[in-house]
Amino acid sequence: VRSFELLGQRQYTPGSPAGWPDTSKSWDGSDALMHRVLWASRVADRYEQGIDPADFAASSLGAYARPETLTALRRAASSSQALALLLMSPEFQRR
Amino acid sequence: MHQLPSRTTRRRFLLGTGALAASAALPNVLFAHTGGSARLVVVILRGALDGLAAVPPYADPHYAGLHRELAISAPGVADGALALDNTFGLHPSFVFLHERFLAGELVVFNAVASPYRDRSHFDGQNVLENGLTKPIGTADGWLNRALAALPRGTGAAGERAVAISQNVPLILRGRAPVMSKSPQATPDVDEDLLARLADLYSKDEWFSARLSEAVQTDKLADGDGNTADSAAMRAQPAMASTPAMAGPRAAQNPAVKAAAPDKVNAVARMAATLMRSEGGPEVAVIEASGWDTHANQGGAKGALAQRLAGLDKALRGLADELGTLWPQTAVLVVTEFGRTAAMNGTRGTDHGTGACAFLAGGAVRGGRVIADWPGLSPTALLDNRDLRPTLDLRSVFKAVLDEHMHVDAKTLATRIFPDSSGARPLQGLIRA
Repeated sequence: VRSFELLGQRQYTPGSPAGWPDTSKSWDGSDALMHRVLWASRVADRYEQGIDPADFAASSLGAYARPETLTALRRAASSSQALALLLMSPEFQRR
Repeated sequence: MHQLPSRTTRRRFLLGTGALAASAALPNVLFAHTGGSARLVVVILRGALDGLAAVPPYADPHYAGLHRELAISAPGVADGALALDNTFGLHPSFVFLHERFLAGELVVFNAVASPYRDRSHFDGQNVLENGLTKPIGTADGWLNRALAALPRGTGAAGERAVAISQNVPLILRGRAPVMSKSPQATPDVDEDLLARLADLYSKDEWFSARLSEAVQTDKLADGDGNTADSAAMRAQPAMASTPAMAGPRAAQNPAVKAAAPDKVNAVARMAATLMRSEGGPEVAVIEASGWDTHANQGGAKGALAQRLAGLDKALRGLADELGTLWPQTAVLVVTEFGRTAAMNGTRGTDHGTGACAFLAGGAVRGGRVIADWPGLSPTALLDNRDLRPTLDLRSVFKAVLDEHMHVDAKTLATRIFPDSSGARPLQGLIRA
């Protein structure tokens, strides 16, 4: 639940009957980006055990993965860091 | 194009994390009762620490020429090494470790390595932790196998060990029950990750601008008691090739802060507090990252120097907090491999082989450097670039588990470290 709050959308509390806004304006600030970085690193810390970052990049992004992202994954200092980088890559966030 | 055996799609992954987020709210700390009196802390430095900076071989005739501006000068000059013997010193950031050395409570190892001989961080860390000679082949770690060979703890689930980590690192995974405790008291973001993201975003104007803004904001929000030094460190987290992170000011963002270089200090103190608590764990594993200094590594001062100072402070914090337990404690500090003997083109060092390690604590028969020094001459280097390892880290691990934790020698040689007959345990590392 806390991870939803970190992402700026507390579960079940959109503050408006229309639900959470789905325009980019509401999630594209630098503050929101920093929160996503924090979320990504926490998720990566918890999930790195079962996941190979390169496999995950292939199955989630496939041909959308940019070469520089794949290079960054390979160079990462740990598999958890690689996973966080993947989650925070522009193509993963935009897809 | 690629057919994968099990497909983790983006959507399935994100759905899974929602379910996990709910369970993460539950407390996951269980207390273990202690059995024996020995305490062991393993500190894993992820990212490959430069042993030639941490334990400078100042008297090696090739050292200064190879390591250039990253080299640490001989003891006795300004910013020189802290003297250990006629060949080696400690990096000037290691004030606490040097005190322990002089007190006979620190063994310094140099030219050590796990059996791993390639250059991948992941695989190197796997070999460091799984106790095998190759990165794959087992899902459990050598420290867990050692715990499994000891009598059960008397705690609810028989735990003897704790990992101060979001999840249990490989070294502690396996059959023996262990507990884990998340180090995150306050939200903060690893600065090494930020530097790598800046690099990843460098061709994407939109993300690049947002990240610059966020980092700038972060510095403003954090501008209270910080010294100029730590601000400089943050502006240039240095480890990746970092594009300028200047950007327009934005609103204050107190909720998320970049990790201070001494974050590991809080982790170490947390480990010690748990170990000291009634029925607390005898064994703890903590991790510190940010050692992958490909660029702007610095010498006696600079990015790596600050990291090392943070580590030194953490080890002091650990000792302080352990208090009366310190005399029965051994702290093992290891990294997955070393770095190149020569400075690279971006004033850093690349992945190498031979590294350094430390064994500190009141239980340690220290005040010694253990290094069969191969030298740094062109013919002595491994593959013409790396410090050649002359001691297998498993010889150190075996000695600590044998002499300190009293793990059965035969089990050590077979189940815990298979294929390790070439790595005989060192003798006399622990006080009798």
